[in-house]
Amino acid sequence: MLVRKILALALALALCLGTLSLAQAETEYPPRPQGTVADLAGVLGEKTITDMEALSQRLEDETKGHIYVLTRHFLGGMNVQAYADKVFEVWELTGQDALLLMVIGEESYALSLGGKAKAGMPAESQTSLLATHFRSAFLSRQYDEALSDLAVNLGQAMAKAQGAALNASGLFGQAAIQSTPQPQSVSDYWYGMFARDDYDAREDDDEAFWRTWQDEWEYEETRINWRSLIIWALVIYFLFFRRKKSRRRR
Amino acid sequence: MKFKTGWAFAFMVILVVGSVIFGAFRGWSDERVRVNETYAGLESMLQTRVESAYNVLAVAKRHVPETDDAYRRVAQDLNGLEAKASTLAQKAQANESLSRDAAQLLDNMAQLDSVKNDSRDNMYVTNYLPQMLSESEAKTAGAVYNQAAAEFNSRMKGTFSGWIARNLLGIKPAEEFKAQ
Repeated sequence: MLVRKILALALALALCLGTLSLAQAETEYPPRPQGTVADLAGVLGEKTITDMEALSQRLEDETKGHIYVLTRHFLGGMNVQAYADKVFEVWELTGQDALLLMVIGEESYALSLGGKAKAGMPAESQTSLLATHFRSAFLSRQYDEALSDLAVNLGQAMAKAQGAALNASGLFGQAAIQSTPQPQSVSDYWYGMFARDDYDAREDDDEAFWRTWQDEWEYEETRINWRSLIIWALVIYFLFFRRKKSRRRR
Repeated sequence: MKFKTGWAFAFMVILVVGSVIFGAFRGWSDERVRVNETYAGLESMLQTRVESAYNVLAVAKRHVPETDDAYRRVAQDLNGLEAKASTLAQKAQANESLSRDAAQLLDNMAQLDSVKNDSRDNMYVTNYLPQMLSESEAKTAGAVYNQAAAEFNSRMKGTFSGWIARNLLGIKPAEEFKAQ
């Protein structure tokens, strides 16, 4: 009789604790959204959400993967990456999926990727992607711009990692937001680094300026090439030929 | 005959006393278990207090130095609530202090130009965080455990079986969530 009562009590306790932990999980982690965006902080525009859904759908058509977005005001002291990874798990996202968490009040964010997506995009690439296409706009509170820029580039990187291509045209005012092309060569890389200040200082939407600037740059580049050729020729001459001449004299 | 009656009477008294003691032990133990079951609810309510304190500090960090008095007091209350070694009375004390200190910190911040000129943080300081603090305070105060523990203790003090359970059977009163 006593044993039966103890068992009944243990069962009641187990059920009670089970219910409590479930209720707690529901409070802590929001349910998976119907679409791909759960804007709990209410910081995203309708157009951005619609475009985000469309982009995610196109990504699914190409790779079976989705990009999910969750915005919250605060995390109550939880680590942002740990929270994003936990939400990824609670929402039962797949290996091809990605989840972007934006924590507005804490000014922090995290990207959580499924196994397959992570394999095609190592941690360094993710950090670089966030630094280049998200961080600045996010910190200056341009949440729509930050999300648009990142989503397009992240989607394209995810598609590329699986040998596919993602067409983002017509989304997020795509004429303005293009994915940043990768440098074609080393000279392009240096060009990107050193020409940036000059570019930023001038009006970038002035076509005439662009043409003049490009002409100037090409001229400058040619001049630099000629100049460097002459310098190299002189160096070689002084190093080898001049020494040979002096030896002959001796 | 007298001898047998005396034994029978003594035996009956022993049985009655034994059953009273056994009944008291079983009854009060079961009730204590039920009170303890509600403790998990209080813990999750206290967690909302911890989260609120973290959120207040996250915003405060952008506007006041960490050496600020009000900031330090809230951080101290947060430690008191989170410390595993804290007794329930100490947690209750930290919980009470948090209401007062966080309100003070938010009031101070609301006067700052840096907050006034920042629409988002101004909304957090004047609206979102005070609401979060008061909701979490109300939830914690209304936790079932507080009522269950208080009722258990008051009944234990007011009944004979409770006196037996407390003094002879070693069943301790429930620890109440009350600042000392």
